[in-house]
Amino acid sequence: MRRINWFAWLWFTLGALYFVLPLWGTLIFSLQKRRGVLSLDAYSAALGDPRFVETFVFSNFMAICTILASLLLIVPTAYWVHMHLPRWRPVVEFVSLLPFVIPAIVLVFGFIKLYSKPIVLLGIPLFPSLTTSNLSTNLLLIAGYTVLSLPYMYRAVDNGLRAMDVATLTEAAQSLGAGWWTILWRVILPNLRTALLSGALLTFAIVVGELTIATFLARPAFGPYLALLGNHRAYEPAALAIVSFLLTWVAMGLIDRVTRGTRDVVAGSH
Amino acid sequence: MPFLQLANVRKLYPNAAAAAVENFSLDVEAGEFVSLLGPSGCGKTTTLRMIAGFESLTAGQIVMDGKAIEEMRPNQRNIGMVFQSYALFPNMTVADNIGFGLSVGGSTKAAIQERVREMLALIKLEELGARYPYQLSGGQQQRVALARALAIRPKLLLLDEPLSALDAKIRVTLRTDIRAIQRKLGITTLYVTHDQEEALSLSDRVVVMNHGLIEQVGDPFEIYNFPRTAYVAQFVGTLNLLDAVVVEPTTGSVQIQEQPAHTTSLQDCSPGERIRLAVRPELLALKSTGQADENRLAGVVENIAFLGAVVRIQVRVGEALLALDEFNNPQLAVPAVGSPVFVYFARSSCLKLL
Amino acid sequence: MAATHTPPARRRLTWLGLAPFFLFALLFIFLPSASLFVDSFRSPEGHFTLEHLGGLLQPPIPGSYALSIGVSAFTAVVGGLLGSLMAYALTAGNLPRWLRPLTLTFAGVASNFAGVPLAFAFISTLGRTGFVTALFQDLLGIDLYDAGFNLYSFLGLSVTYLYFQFPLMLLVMVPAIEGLKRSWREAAESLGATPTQYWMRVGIPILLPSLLGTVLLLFGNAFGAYATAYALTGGRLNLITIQIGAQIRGDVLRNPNLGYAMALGMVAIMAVTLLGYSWLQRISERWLKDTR
Repeated sequence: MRRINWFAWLWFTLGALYFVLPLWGTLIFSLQKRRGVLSLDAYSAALGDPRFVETFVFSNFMAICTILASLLLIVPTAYWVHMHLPRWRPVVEFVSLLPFVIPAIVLVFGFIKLYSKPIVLLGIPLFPSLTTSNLSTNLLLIAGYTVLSLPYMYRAVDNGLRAMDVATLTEAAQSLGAGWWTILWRVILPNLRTALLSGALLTFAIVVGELTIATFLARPAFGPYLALLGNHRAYEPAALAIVSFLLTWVAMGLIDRVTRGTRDVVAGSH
Repeated sequence: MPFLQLANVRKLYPNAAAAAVENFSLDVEAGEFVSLLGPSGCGKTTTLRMIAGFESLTAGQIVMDGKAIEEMRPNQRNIGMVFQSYALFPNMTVADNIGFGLSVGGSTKAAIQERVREMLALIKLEELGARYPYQLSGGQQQRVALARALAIRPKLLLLDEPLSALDAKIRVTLRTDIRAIQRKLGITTLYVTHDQEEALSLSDRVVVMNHGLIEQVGDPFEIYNFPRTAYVAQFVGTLNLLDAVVVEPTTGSVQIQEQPAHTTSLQDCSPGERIRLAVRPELLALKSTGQADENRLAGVVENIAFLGAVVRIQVRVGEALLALDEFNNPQLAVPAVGSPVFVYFARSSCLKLL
Repeated sequence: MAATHTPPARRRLTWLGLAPFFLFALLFIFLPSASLFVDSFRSPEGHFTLEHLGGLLQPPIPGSYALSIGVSAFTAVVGGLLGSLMAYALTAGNLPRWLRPLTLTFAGVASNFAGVPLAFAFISTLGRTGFVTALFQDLLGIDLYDAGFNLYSFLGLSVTYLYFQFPLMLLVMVPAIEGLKRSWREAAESLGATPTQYWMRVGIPILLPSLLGTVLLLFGNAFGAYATAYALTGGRLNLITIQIGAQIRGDVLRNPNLGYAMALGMVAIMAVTLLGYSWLQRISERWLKDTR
C-alpha cells in the first residue's frame, strides 16, 4: 500500500541537508583550533575567557529580568481584558503586535533619540537622561527586550487564558469565597503554567544572544561580545555558535515538552 | 442480478485485533434506498468507504452494475458521496462546487452551467449559486453537497451520516427532501446512520450492524416489529426486556417474575429453560380488566414522565421495571406513583429473542 | 464572552486595570517611534518639511531599500517554496512517521537560531575556509569563490537568511497542510478528480492564503533583520538596517533627520506587509472556520 514517494524524499533530503550541513561544518571548524588534530581548544579558550563569563552572566540576568517584567505586565493585563474588558481585546492585541512592525533597530533608534536627553515638558524637567547611568540604561534595555518579547508573551498568555474559561473559573473561586489575590495566585496562574513557561523560554531564546538593542545602548551583553570576538578570532566564534545552538535547542526542546505540540509558530527577531 | 452486490466483504485494519467488517454480504436492487444502522464503531462507515474506494478490502467482492469494482480507484467508480462534514470546497462558490465533478471530467462550460442550474433547482437553492460555503447554513451546505454528488449522474449515491451535524428540526426536513430527491431520480442509495428513527423513516430496507457483523436485514416494519436479536430489539426503539422461565413449550406458557403469562411460540424450548422476552412500550396498557387471552402482570407505578404526545409510565413488576406508553389526552387518568396497577398486553406482542 | 458582574460604581474604573500596559506601550513603543516620525518631517529650525523624505531618493538610500527588499523577497519566496515542499514531503509524502516530530523540533530550533551565532555558523561553513567550501574544493575541484560565490554578497546573505526562513515556513505549513480535511480529498476523488487535479484545484488554492501570508511574514522577518547581516558582513552590505545603524553610530555625518526618515520608511513597508498578512490570514480563517 505504501508507495515510495521519490518527490517527497528528494525535498526532505534537501531540506535536511540544509539543516545539518552548517551545523556540521561549524562543529568541525570549531574543533580545528589545534593544527592537524581535532581538539576542544577553541571551547576551552572561548568559555575560559573572563569577558565571556561576564557578558554571558549579564545577558542571562537581563533575560530573567525581562521575563519577570513582561510577566508582571502581561498576565494581569490579559486577565483583566478577559474578565472585564473583552471589547478591548482587539486594541490590546494590536498593540502587542506592534513590535512586529517596528524593527529592533528602529526601536533602539527611538529610545536613543528620546531618552538620551532629559525629558522636558513645557519647561519642566520630567526625568533626566536615561543613558547616563548604568542602572537606568539597563532598565532601558529591559524595556526594549520586553517590547521585543511582547507579541510572543501576549499570544502565549492569551491562548492559555482562552483555553481555560477564566470567567467560569473565577466565578467558581469567588463562590467558594476566594479573594482577588487568591484567585490570581492559586487558580489562574497554576492553570497558565504551560503558557507562561513557553512564553518565558521563548523570551529567553530571543534575549540571550540579542545584538541590536544591546549594541546601540552600549551594554556589556553577550551578543555584542560575540560580534566583537568574530572580528579578531576564527575558531572561538564557531565554538560559541555551537554552544548557542545547543542552548536554543534546550530552550525549544523544553517548550516542546511543556506544550506538547500546541505551540504557536513565531518569527524571531534577527 | 442485483445492481450492487457485496459478497463476504471483510476489512481487517493492520494491527487491529478484530475485523472492522466481517463476512458482509448484501444485495441492493436498482433504485433501492438501504440504510446501514448501528452504533459508532460497528463497521457501517467502513463498509460505505470500501464501496466508495477509500478503503481497500481484506477479502470479498463488490460488484456494481455487473462489474467488480473493488480494485478500481475511487475516481473511476462514478459513485457520488455525501459526507457528514459536508466537505464543500471552501475556495469555490456553490456553483463551482456543484460543477466540480463535470469540470474535472472535461465537460464543456455550457454543459456544466446547464447541469448546475438543474441541480440548484433540484435542491431549491437557485439564488445561492454565487455564494461561498461559509456564507451558507449547515443545512444549505449539505444540500449543496448532495447536489454536487448528484451532478455527475453517479450510478450509486452514498451518504455517510449526512444529517448528524445539523439541528434536530433541519434534520427532519432535510431527510424528507433527500428521500424525495432519491425517489425522483430513482438512484440506488446507501445511507449510513446511527439514528434508528432516520433509518426507519427513510429506507426501503435497513441493515442493522454490530461489531462488524450484520445483525438483521429487513424492511423497517420487520426490523421494528420482529427484531431477531436482543441487540436489534434494543437498538431500534425502546423495549422492555423480560426474563422468563418456560413452563410449557407447546402452549407458550411462561413465568415472568413469578406471574403466569403466555407467548406465541416456544417450539424449540424445554420446560424450565430461562429465556428473554421483549415487549414494546406502546403495546402495554394499564387497564382494570382485559380480555381472557391477554397477559396480565400486577405491579406498582414507580415513575411517570410526560413526553408530549405520549405519557411514559414505569411500573415495577417484581425485579423488572416495565416502561409503557399511553397516548396523551386531557381526559387521561394518570395513576398516582405508588399505586398498584395491572399491565395488560397481547400474547402476540410478546416476542422471544435469540 | 466573559460577563462582567462589576457594580456600576466600580465599572467606571475598570479601565484602570489596563493603565500599566498602555503606559508601558506609550513610553516604549509609541513615544519613541512617534518622536522619529515627527522629526522626519521637521527641519532643523523646527518647521514642517518634506525635505528629509525627499532625501530618501538620494543615493545610496534607494539602493539600500532595494537591496533589503531584494534579499527579503528572495529569501521569503525561496524559503516559502522550500518550506512548503518539505512540509508536503513530511505530511503527504509517505515518509516514515518518526521523521516528523524530529524534523519539526529541529525546525523550531533553526527558526530561532539567528543573529550572530548563525552568521558564525555560515562563515565556518561557506566562508573562504569553510567546511563546505573545502568540500567542494577537495571532492569536486571547484573553488566556490573563483566560481563567483561570495558569502558576503546578496547570494551569501540570502543563503544565510534561508536558514531561519525556511524552517519557519515549514512550521507554519505542516499544520496548514494537515488542516486540509481528508473528506475534501475524498470528495474530489469520488467526483472523478485525479490527485493532481485535487492539488491544483482544491488543495493548493485552499492553502494559498496562508501560504502567501506566511511568505509576507518571512519577508518582514528578513526585512527587519540587523544582527545576522551585521555579524556576517560587518556592514559591507548596504542593507537599510545597516544604514540606519550607521546613522545611529554617527559614522556617516549627515543630516540625522534623514536617519529618522529612513526608519519611517522601514516602518511603512513593515506595516504594509503586516496588513497584507492579516488580510490573507482572515480569508484563510474564514475558509477553514467550519462547523467541525
